[in-house]
Amino acid sequence: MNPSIRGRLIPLLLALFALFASPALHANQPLELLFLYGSEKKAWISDVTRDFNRRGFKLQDGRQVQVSAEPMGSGATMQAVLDGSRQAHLVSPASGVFIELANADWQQQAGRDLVGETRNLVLSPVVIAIWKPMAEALGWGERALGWSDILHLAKSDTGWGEYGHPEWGPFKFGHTHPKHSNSGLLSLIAETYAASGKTRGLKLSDVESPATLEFVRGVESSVVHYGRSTGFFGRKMMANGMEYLSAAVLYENMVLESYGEDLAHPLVAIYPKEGTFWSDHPVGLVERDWVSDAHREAGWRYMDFLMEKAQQEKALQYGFRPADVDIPVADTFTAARGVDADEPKTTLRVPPGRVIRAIMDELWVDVKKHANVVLVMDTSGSMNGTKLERAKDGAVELVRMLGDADQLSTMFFSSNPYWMSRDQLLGPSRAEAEQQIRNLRANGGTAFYDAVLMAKDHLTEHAVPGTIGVVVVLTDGEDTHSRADLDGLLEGIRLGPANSVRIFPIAYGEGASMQVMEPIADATQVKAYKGSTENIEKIFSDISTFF
Amino acid sequence: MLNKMLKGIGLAVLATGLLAAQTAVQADWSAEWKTTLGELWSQTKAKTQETLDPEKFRPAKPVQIGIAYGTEKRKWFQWAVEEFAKTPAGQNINVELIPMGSVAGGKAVLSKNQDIHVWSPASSMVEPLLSEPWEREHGKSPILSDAPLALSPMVYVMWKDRYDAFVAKYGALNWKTISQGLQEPTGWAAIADKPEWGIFTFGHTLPTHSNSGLLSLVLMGYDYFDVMRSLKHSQIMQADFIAWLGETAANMDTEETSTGNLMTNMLRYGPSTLNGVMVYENLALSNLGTAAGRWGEIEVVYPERSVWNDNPFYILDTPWVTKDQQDAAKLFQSFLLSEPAQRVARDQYLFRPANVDLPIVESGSAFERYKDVVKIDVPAIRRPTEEVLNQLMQLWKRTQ
Repeated sequence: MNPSIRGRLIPLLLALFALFASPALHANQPLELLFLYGSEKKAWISDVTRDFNRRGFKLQDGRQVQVSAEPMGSGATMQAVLDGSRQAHLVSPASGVFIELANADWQQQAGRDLVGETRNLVLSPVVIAIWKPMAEALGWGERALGWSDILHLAKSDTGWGEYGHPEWGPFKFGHTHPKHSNSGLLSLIAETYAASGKTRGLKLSDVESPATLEFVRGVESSVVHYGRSTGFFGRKMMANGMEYLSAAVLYENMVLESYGEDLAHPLVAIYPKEGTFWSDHPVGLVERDWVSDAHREAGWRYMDFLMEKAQQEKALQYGFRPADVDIPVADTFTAARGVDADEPKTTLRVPPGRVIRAIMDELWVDVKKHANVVLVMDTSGSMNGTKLERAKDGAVELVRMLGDADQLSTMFFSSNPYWMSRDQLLGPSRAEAEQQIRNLRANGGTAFYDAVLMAKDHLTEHAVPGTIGVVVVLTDGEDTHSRADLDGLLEGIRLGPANSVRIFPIAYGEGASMQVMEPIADATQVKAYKGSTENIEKIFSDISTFF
Repeated sequence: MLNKMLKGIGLAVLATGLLAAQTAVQADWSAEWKTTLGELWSQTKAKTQETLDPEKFRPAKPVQIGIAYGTEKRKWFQWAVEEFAKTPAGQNINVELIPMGSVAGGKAVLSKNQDIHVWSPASSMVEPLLSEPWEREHGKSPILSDAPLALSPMVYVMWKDRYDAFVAKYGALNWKTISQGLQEPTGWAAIADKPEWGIFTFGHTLPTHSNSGLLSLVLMGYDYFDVMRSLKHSQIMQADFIAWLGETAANMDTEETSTGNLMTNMLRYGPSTLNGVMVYENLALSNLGTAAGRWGEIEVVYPERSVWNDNPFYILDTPWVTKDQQDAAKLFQSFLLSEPAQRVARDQYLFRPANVDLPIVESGSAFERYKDVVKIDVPAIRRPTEEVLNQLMQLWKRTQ
């Protein structure tokens, strides 16, 4: 470069740099703080964050702080920050267990913690939420109840008949997937503690003991299905009543919230006598290189705000016990709302990271209820091209997420349904199943209803005791070739003593209507999805957390 | 700097006085203690008198000082920083509070954390943990001056229903009976026929980080050997003591690094997590009302052997601390020891004043309000040697 030009250019660049780096310019651009948090406290966080942003807090350099608060599953939050897919500055999973795990992972990768010093925002114990009449049949209010009662019910051949209520049928239990959700993980650890008879000092030898395996497998045998979101369980339980679930592992705040709903029976909380965990909602700054000093300053400012009395008092309205101990709770947490301010009596100690890993990676594989899945894919002509290719990617993702001991059948339909494979144990046949999916070609009409009925009939006729029977069906348009109609389909799939198959329908693309999918999902008490080429992999992944 | 020898004598006199208390000569002991504290206060006042002239020492340009302090003083310090900023002397001084466990604060100075210009642990008991290694490395003391800011003895706090049941079974609450309770495999089922209360739990802070945790270990040693003074290295190396400490420590809750947080956690999570803790008197008293609104009443119990926490204010004499910062720290220290600030420490945060011009109990003072709970004359042990402190910490580490 010509020296004279360089001589003029460098001061100009320096001046520009100085201008852009100046506080005056900064002051016009708000600093955005990305806050990922456990979705259980969404209502409270949305409420108070709105207030925070409205007040326009400023940093020392003059910039205003804007908090972008996004609810997310606790496991997903920590994973996203670990792998850098979400560059959050502040995180708050539902419990310290997830911080412990993520810090252990980051220590191995980078030699330091992922999240620094934390503070607890609000508290809510993990409870077994159960319908009040059922709780009373077990002796609720008269004796301490716990995991041993759940195990007894789960193993009983007569279910609620043993407690004088054969009309309630078998005991149906639910908790979220331990690999995806805080309450599911805490539930599994609590079951392990209960099996060991300990309340602290859980060791690898406890996790590996045959007695633990038998206990936890016994409890898990009564699980109807798993899931990603504790909130989903709570809402479905309230919407579908005693026939859907007898009890589920939820947070205490959700039991309190249920008193705002119009329910046939109230929910109450069992605080397991063997001990439970507190969902303590720790909040802390992320220690990654995308977090600047300004983010730290903003983060502390926001955390201080959340801990102020006004915000803490608001948490009570959403069913949480405030972390600020100066705020009394006795008047809010009463038996009239199914909860008890004097409970829990015993808190379990969070085990070290390696013990949690063993529970998640080894015990869980052994005790998890296996799935018997039929994957049904639409290959009608309208699926041709990118649409089918992306759907195949999603379906392959589902196959990859299933366990070796799960069973898979695959079916495709256009003008008629056809089996590709039936009742294959996935361990030895996973690669073959993926290949079959990759080989699908689009052509012909849409016999959607017939395909669903055929898949469901296959599962009821070839039911494998102790497994979760599931149909996952994807379609991109209206039915054109079935002999059955929607009413006939809904009648045929309805849950009952002889049918426990859950059907997850995916309306893929613009042609498929959620008005058809939702009644199908509702009839089997699960969830319908609206899919596109952009999100189809995520949808299959989400569905896999149910079983 | 305050005369360390005088301070050593002071603590020794305190301990001697406690022995006297043991033998029911309490009045003499109290008088002696007050005299000693009076002397300490005169020294502090004389040394800082010059700094009370804000015109003379008012910094010409803004000065920032960082104070690593134990969280038991958090609320008082936060109040003081805000008020100090309003005084003429404080206008050019920016005080940054760095909450840190007492032991951790000393370690941070040792590792040359240049944000710290003043170290204010809960007790001078931990001072040798910084001074001795620093002096070995640098050949001089890292401390320019010190002064006790406020006093608070160690106490036990238990949920009242648990305490009543515990004492009904064991007769008294001390480290020996706590150890017995912790080792009951069925917990409250065996202690009080209350299986629904779960196992018996008790906590103190992490001894490697926090003063109150370390002092809890010290008091365990004194309780075990049933002495008030001169706990010897040879005693704590006895096999039976090591075994007892190991069994006790294995069942104790010691994860928390800050005494303030330990007290808060007990109130937050209730008896489900902690049945009792050992903390500072001021934390216990200031939470009496809070506890009732959360999980029920708490009982504050003064141990048969306690120890005083004098909350020293160590102005550092390390390479990164400038003369301006030392002067600024002296001004803040003077403010903390002034009668109004001491009155706030006493009446709002339940510290016993280091400034003996101010009585502990007088009409309208907070201690007057808690007169049914507070024990003014507290039997305290004599400070153990540095060797004993370090050995106790080593023994404890081995149990973890």
